[in-house]
Amino acid sequence: MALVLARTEAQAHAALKFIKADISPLPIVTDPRQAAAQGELIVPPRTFRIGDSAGAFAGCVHVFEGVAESGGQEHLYIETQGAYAFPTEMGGVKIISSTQGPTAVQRHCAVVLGVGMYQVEVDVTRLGGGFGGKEDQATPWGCLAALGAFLVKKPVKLVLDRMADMRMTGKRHPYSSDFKIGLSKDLKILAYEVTYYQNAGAAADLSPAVLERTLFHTTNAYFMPNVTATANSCRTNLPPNTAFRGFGGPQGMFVIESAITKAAEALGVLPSDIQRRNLLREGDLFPYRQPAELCHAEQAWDTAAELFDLAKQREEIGEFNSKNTIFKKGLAVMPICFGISFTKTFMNQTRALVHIYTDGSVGISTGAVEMGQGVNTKIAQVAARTLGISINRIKIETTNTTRVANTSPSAASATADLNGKATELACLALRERLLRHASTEFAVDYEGIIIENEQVLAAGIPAETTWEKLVSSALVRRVSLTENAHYATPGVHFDASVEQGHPFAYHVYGTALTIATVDCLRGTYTIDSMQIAHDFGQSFSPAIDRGQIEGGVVQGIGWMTLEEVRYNDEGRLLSNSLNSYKIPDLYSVPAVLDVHFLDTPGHPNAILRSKAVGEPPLMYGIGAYFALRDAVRAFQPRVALPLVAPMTPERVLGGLYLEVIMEKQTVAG
Amino acid sequence: MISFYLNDQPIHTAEPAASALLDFVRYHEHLTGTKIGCREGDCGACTVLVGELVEDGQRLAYQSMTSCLTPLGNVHGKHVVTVEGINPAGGQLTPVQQAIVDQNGAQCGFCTVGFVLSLTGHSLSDKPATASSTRAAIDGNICRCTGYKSLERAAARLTAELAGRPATNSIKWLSEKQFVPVYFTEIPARLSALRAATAPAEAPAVAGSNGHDADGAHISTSPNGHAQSQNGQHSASQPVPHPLLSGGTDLLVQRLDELRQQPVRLLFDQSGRRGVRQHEGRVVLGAATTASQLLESEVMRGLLSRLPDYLKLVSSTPIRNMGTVAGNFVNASPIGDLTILFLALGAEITLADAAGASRSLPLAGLYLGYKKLAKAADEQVTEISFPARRPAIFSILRRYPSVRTSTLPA
Repeated sequence: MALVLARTEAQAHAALKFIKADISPLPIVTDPRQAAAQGELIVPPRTFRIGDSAGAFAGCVHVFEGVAESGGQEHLYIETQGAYAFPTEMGGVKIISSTQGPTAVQRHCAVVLGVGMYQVEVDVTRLGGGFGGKEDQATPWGCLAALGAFLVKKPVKLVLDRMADMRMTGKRHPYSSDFKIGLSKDLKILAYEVTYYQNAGAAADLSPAVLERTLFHTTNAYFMPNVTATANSCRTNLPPNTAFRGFGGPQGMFVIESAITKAAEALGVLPSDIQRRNLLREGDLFPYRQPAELCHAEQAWDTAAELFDLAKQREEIGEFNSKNTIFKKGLAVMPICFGISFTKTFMNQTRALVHIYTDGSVGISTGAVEMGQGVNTKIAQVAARTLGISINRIKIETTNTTRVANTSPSAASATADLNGKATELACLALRERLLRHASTEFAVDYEGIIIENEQVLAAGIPAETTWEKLVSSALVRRVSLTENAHYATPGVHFDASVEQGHPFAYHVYGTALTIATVDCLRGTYTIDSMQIAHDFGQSFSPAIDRGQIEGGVVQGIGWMTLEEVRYNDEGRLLSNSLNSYKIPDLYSVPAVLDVHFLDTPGHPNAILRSKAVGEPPLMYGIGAYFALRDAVRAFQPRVALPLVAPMTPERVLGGLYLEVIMEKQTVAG
Repeated sequence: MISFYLNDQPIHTAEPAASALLDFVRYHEHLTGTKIGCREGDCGACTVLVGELVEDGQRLAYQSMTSCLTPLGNVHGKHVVTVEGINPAGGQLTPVQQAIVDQNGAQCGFCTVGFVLSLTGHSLSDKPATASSTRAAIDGNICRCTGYKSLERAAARLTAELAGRPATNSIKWLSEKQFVPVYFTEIPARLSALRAATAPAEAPAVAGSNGHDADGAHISTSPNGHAQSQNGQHSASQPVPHPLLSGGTDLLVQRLDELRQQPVRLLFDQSGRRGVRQHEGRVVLGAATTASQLLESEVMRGLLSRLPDYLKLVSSTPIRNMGTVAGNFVNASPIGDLTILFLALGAEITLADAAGASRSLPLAGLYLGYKKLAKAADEQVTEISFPARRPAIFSILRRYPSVRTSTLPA
């Protein structure tokens, strides 16, 4: 509504107080179901369908219905949103932006300023955390800083303070969902119907794409022959919600896990009895008709169960619970299956620009934005391996729209795959060119020449011929030492008109065992352990990949347990600072967090067969919810608990004493 | 004038005493390694070390503090350490930094500096490093990327390395091992010289005369700035005393903008206002005793063996290093966590007014309601005391953990 430019931060803040907004309040809707009932949808509903769920329910021995609710989540990148812009010559502007999507900032900024995209240069060094929160929602701040710089012809820096950031930016989408699940006598899932109500907030942002991924992950790691999944993106009067690690997938998975758990509790079986026998197998079709290829769902489950001794741990928990009244333990198994690629097929492309300098050092620019996920290290590793040189010679440059144009945001877990592949292509081309040059220079056969540990190796090439000499001699022979490679993921396509296709390059699998202990007097709890068998493929950065699992898991646990985004009825954010919104701290993470690297071959579409790792682990956090639920049920098995996340200590306490609460309500009613 | 050492440089500044150390470091000294995360002491991205000369003047005691909430006036006569001040001239990583790098404890890196400073402060501590004390050193640092496990592994390695630290004159060992640069060994002498050359620590007690409104009126402050006319005891025409500022952990969250525009009366370093002692059957606390000093007090621990467990739930290490007991009381709201404990202990407080007259009243009598105090504007809490015996509170506090120990497996 208003942008204040001032010489100092203090002046700007002081000036804000002089702005008076004349606002006529309109009716406020914050509940997605209410919005849907009023026809307030961001896009028309979408339905994924396979088989005939309605018909299949007739053949089911057990049918259960229910409602599942999952909450929002604040990104809480420690570096808040911000940008710095300054005018450049010929009427242009340069923006240093904390964004996952430099091209988005450039494109929107060009529109705002009424100039061509070539007049706007966006540069990104690295982000102090993104997690999806700076995919689209970094754009306004970049545009506003640029607008200021454009108007006053002076540099403008715009950084949100924490409360402004929390108040003004969107979060993970809360979902409210209706489910119906049908099982055979032997607990095979025969039919599943689900309707999602996504709380999109006031504008589209990325909500339609998030909605789509919810549909893609409706069945998580399970095969179901008959599925009807309908998703509504509901317009409410909240800040537009946006991308957050998992991007709708976790919300979809929470519902199917809720359905399975509800069925298991009603049938008096373990949820894992249903989960295990419905896991995806090679060739099984997802509801969108892509087959599960190189499927490791059962391998992940069985490895986790065996390696971490599921049977024994369950037995020990039973024993603990039989001996303790105030403390109860619970266990949950959480399998995951996550599709890798942008579901908008055209976004699966990028470019890498590789310069070899005359001293043999290498500068690489790609579309990848480093935000802590380690993509720069991975790209440098790819280049070092491909060129046969030390990683110390390689610099990953800032992400810059002038050097690498028209990029997709760093998102969808696909950044290392896409930009790593483009880098690999560029380095392969450079290597070939240099080796052809070597073959001419030394009059030896091209076949059989290699570069290894910075040495050029082939019979007939002088032993002292190093990388540096090869590069400098190539320059003299006018061989190009620069390559710009384009990569587009092969084989991905999707037809939204029939909601079918092959949208993902591949899937990532894994299984986590989670154990939690609940203090049944106070409702407080600890997540004792999370033990994971994960499908990394052939990891070439195990330390980075492990860090992604650990960080993703804790974020997922946070979403499912502590982190509660709360608005009042007027749509004002109540959880508006770090003292009213709790994210995991050192003491709230599991004491045991084991990560086992499954022995899997990886996938040809994954960079060096090392699978994407950014988002999938977040969904292990769902296991924390169900482990807590299991512990609460050990104390209070009589009344069915609502399927509402996050499982805050308050909710746990409510669940422990649900009978008392219901009794009181009956009396009062 | 506020004088202190910032890393290896002496600083003399006329900046307002109530301005945030964070802003001084970043915007005056352009040391941008100290990050802004939340400006309310919750994330730890702005953690710095503040070293204070101990009595003998031969060494410093360093504590981690969140610079966003540290009033500049509270570092007068002290040594402030930012990340720019911990590496040797050659730029090699310190063992703390190396441990974090080796364990991949930095992902986006934005919180990392805070972790580095917290762990460096822990290295400078004179208490033995244990697995739990090293973890506790980073309990005020939030990381959104790593899930903490890699940082725990770095902390474990650091604990092992610190096992070789001598109990006395550890600064020499620490500088040899490059935990801190050599200049740290010279800081005690330099700081003593600086203190001798400048006004005593009381000097900035009313500091920062700039920022008065033209008509001499002060911004009304409420409630724990205590400067407003309370309960109608002062007429509007009477001069209003300057606001009181202690640890800053609440006032700099809520009212930094207004406080830095006026002089304040600093309480944090007033002499004789810190520490816990026993006197004539009572436990007596100076009003500016910090939560950390409470936690470490032998007297308090002797009476309340489970006090550490309770205080662990109250804020975090850097905040406990800054927040004072009296500051907690005069907050007069449910976020004053210590108040509950002292109410149960049957505490009394002593108030002194500007003329030096003092009176005592039960802590419960201080409260008239939410954010309402039975205290004149010129009165400040000077002392807190309670009977040195084990009243009801002890059984309550002890019952809670006894439930845990009887039902949790060993």
